[in-house]
Amino acid sequence: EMFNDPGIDLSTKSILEQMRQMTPRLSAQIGSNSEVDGEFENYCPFLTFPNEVISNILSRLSPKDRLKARVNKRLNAIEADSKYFEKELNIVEEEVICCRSSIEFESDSISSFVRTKMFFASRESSRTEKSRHTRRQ
Amino acid sequence: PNVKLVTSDNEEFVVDFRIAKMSVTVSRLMEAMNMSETDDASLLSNSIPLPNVTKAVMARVIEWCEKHKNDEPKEEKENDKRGRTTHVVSDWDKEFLKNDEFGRLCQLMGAANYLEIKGLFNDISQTIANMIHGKKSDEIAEMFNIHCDLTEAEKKEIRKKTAWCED
Repeated sequence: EMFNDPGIDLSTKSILEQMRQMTPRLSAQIGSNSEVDGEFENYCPFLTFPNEVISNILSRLSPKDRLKARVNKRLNAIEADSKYFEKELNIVEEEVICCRSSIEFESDSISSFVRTKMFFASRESSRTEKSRHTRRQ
Repeated sequence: PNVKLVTSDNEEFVVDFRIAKMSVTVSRLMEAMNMSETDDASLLSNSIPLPNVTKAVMARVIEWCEKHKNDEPKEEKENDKRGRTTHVVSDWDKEFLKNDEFGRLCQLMGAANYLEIKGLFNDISQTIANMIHGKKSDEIAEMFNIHCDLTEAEKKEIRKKTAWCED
């Protein structure tokens, strides 16, 4: 299709050069989240996937890997909406002032479901309590 | 019986009915067009248009389907105890996908998603997840050619939140 585009003149410029010029048009078709500097070399096939597909890929990774995958605004937003399941959650109070989490326990209390939104803050603004508590589920 | 599939670049593929049925999308289209396994005339007179799949990608999809046409339906364990979707990619599938450069792998993933071929979709999804596993943020961005559009404040916030998992 690309090569049948009447906008391409094969006689004057190299195909690669013309494709570079077409990139903004291609990006527009793919969606704004895939627009990457308008340069052909920066075209990112990974971001052409819909959010559900990216989410499916990330769901196969550990929480650590998933957090590291937040390399741009869109991936950050997808990851912020995702769910994590952890068998055990340790909350260190002196480093965390607010843990906005919804925790649901399974009937056997083996695992917990945590919607992560943890906000870390400095010690100055945290509680003065120095003792380190660990809660286990 | 055979089914005719026509790609976006007008290439016609004639595939076994069982292979066509592996795609939920094709299956639904056949149903809508009253094409059935026992009605040869309906299969001969109709073809299924697949405007989102090119000839090259379709050939790869059919190759995968040929290999898996006799597979028992596999239940994927979604959300295991650690909350991860688990899928084991077979040796044949690893070999099948390993030579695809990333752009082609993404095209194949797009086709598997559009055609709703769960097995192929899971194989590629797991393959891409395996590529991400163990990588640092900058390595992931480089590998997938992802341009970072985060502001300095957002980067700082993310660094703060992910400090515990950085090596």
